[in-house]
Formats: sequence, structure tokens, C-alpha cells
Amino acid sequence: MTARILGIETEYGILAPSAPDLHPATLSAAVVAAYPGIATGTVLDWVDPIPIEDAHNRVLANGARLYVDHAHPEYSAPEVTTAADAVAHDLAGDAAVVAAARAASAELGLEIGIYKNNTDSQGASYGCHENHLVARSVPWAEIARHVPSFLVTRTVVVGAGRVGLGRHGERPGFQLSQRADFFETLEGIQTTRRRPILNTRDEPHAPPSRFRRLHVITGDANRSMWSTWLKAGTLAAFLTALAHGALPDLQLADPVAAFPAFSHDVGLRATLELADGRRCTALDLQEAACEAVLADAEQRPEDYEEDVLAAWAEALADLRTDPSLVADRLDWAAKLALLDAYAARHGLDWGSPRLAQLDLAWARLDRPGPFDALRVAGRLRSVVTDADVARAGVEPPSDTRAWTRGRLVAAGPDRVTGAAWDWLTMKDAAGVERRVDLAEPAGHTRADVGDLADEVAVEAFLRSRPARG
Amino acid sequence: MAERVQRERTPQRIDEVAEATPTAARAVDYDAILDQIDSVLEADAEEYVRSFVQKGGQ
Repeated sequence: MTARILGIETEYGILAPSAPDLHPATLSAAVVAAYPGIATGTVLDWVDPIPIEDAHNRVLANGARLYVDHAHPEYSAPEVTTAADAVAHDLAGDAAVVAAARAASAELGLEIGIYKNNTDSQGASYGCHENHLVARSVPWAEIARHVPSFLVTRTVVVGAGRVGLGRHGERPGFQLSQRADFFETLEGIQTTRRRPILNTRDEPHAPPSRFRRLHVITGDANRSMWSTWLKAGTLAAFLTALAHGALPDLQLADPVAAFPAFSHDVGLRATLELADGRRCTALDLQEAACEAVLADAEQRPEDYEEDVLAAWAEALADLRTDPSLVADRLDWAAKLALLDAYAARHGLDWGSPRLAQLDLAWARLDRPGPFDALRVAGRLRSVVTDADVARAGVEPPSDTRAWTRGRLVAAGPDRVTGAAWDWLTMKDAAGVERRVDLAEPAGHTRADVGDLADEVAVEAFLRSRPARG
Repeated sequence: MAERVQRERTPQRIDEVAEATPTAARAVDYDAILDQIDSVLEADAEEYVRSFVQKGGQ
């Protein structure tokens, strides 16, 4: 069994309302450069996947990357092994980008808004991508058979909710997902146009003979911890069951058409055709997946996160009973309940810009908004504590290679001369450049390399690595 | 694998955090929250929504 390794990367919306002519790539670069925590410099020899000309690219002391991608600040959280750690590091990313934006805002004398959503409802979409390490022995045909139907039905659980239907929000209404209206094909390598449900990019950043990295681009950026937790944890569990051959043969006839159709079905009643001619709701398919995973977990409990599976089953049961029951934990339902209350108070319908405004304010991270009001009022369930998030902002996960990456950056950010996910180069105290191999995603951990907490330990570690060149 | 899953959890387990979420608070009605929202939203909703333009992304 391949160790569970996953990570979430988020492109944030960015806006300087007083400087509409400032190009967002320039603004994003200023934000990345202003990150106030410990990090490598902005010009770093990161060869893959970001080319050097886009090298507003920093590695942080927690093993994450902060960079500019397609005119957005993007944060790639470090590799983790549990869904709860993915939540802590996702929120640490929000905090890092907000801190960087505040610093840039002070330097430039500009208000800079940071948004965790996936569309401006004016035709643009930007992603929150998930990465899961999968054993190379799992046939691609099996992934292609099972994963699309899972991704387009999980929206009922992990959608972030959106005011407006269509790429330009041209039809009034509410839907479960931010991203569903932006996908056109079933399979492909591209991410910015004709987006595919199943992305075929295969850069494992690990020994390719043993691993594939499944790069998932359909998901929403979530604000609720519970949504992020289930987004990360249920896909990891689904892929584990897939690798075990434990999934039922239930595929939608047309996943591409199903994605928006299910997303627009807030009542969760719409049925769509399966490949075998039967019809199912999104909830039916999620329940079938959850049951299969639970049955496999009975046989091999050590391969699963029990608390994630219990929360998944509970959320599905609540959705079946009454979708408003999950307004205490899932993004779309919490947002919809608030929008309904706000619309009732002010007599608004779905075409009102005030509801679209509330949706944007929900996503805005750099000032307290409606999401924070719900959270502070204790209306949203937590997964990790504020202390966990603060720690994830400065300390890498101890049980993946991110440990070594982050600790070396913490020890000498200015001595790091290059970095990728699977290697790093750094000068030792004598100025000799050393190459640190990080090929094993589940290796190079705290247990493997120690704390690397002081200069003596870091120097000894570097000197044991080969000189570069 | 079993050992690795058991070894590194976040310090506080999920169910403990969930239990710590005050159930009584969930029963509070929306009024205070809506008041708060009214006070933080920009006055010109239409302009705010129209000016939120992003370049494309992945």
C-alpha cells in the first residue's frame, strides 16, 4: 500500500480597487515578495513546474511554496499524510497570503483584497487543485473509469456554493459549486482552457516507476474547515478503495454534462443517466462510494482515516434527511442558509447584486466578513484549532519530505540556491553548494533526519550530502 | 502504514474539537450576524460586484 500523501494548492483572487490599471501579475508579485515570514528569496532556481521567468517563487519555512501563477498569488501547501493536516496547512496558506498582502498593501499604500473563491462571475475561473500520490501499479484505465463520476458528484458535500449560474453569472440562482460551469472535456492535460474533469498531467515529483500524482482541478477553494477536511479525506479514501479494486461499477454516462447539472440542483433531487442506463442522483452515487469505502475499511482499517469516513457518512445521511442540517459544517449549505436569511430580511431575489456581493464578501480573507461572523458565533464545526493552524504556518509536517525542505529553509533561507518538490540545493557554512535529494515523498521525515533545529545539526546534515556540480 | 497513520494526528482529535463547538451557539438566530453583515458590506453592491474582475487562471 502506498503511503497516503496529499497536498492542496490554491490560487487566490486579488483586487486593488483603487488601482484598476495595475496588472494583477505585478500586484501578485508584490504580495509574494512582501511575505513577512521566513522564506527563500524571490529569484530561486525552481525548474519544475514553474519556469524561471515566472520565478516570483518562494519556499517557506513550513515547506510550502508561495508564487505567482496566472496573475494570482498561489500557495502550494506542503505534502501531508492526513486530511486534518491538509486543513491546518490550507488555513496556514490563507494566513500567509493575507499577511503578505497586508505587508504589500502597507508598502504600496494600496488596499489589496484577497479572495478565496474560484470565479469572478465575469468569465474567469481560477483553481484550487488537489494532489494525491497514487501507486503506479494502479491502471490509468481504472482511474479514468471511477474518478470522474466521483468528482462531479462530491459537489453535494464539498462545493463552496456560488451565487449565479453560468460562467458570467448570467442566470440568477444559487449553485453548489464555484467551478462546475467551467469544464468542457472529460480528460486532458490542460488547466486554463477547455478544462478537463480528469487532468492527465503526470509529474509525480517522485520516482515515476512507483508513483503517479493525480492532479485534481475540479474542486472549489473552501472556507469551512469541514469542507476542506472532507474534500481531502474522501478523495484519499476513494483512491485507496480504487487501488484495492473495492469500488462498485457505477459511472455516469456523461460526467461533463453532469457536473453543472448536479451543481445547479440545490434540492439534490436531479437524476442523471449512468453508463448502464439506470438513473441516479449525485447523493446516490456518493452514498454508493461511501458504502464501498466503509466496507473496504472494515477489512483494512489501517489504510483509512476512520474519523473522515464517519464524518462523510454522517454528512451524506444528513443531506439525505434535510440539506439544511449540514449548514453547521459544509460551505455551500452554510452560505445558502445565510443568503436565505439575508434575502428574507431585505426582500431580495437571486438577481440582486447584494446577494452576489455577500458571496464575494464570504470569500474575502483580508477583512472580517460574513464567514467570520458565523465562525465567531460558533455556528461552524471545527476540525483543527487556531494553535494547529499557527503551528502549520511555521513548522513543516513532520512525517513527509516537507520536513527536511522546511527545516533547511528555516535554518538558512538565503543559502538555499534552488528547490523543487523532490530536491533542494543549499550552501553549507563554507559556501559549498550541496544537493539534498528529496525523492521519497514519505521519506526525509523528522524520524529520518532529526529535528534539524540548530546550526550544528543542519551543517552536519548538509556536509553529509554531495557537493553539486 | 498503520503505525504511520496512528503516529501523527493533529494534536487535538477531530471529535474533541467538534464537541468543543458550543451546540447552544448553533441555535442562536441570524439577526445579530445579519446586523454585522449589514455594517461591513459596501454601500454600492452593484459597483462592488462589477469591479470584481479577475484575470483567468488554472
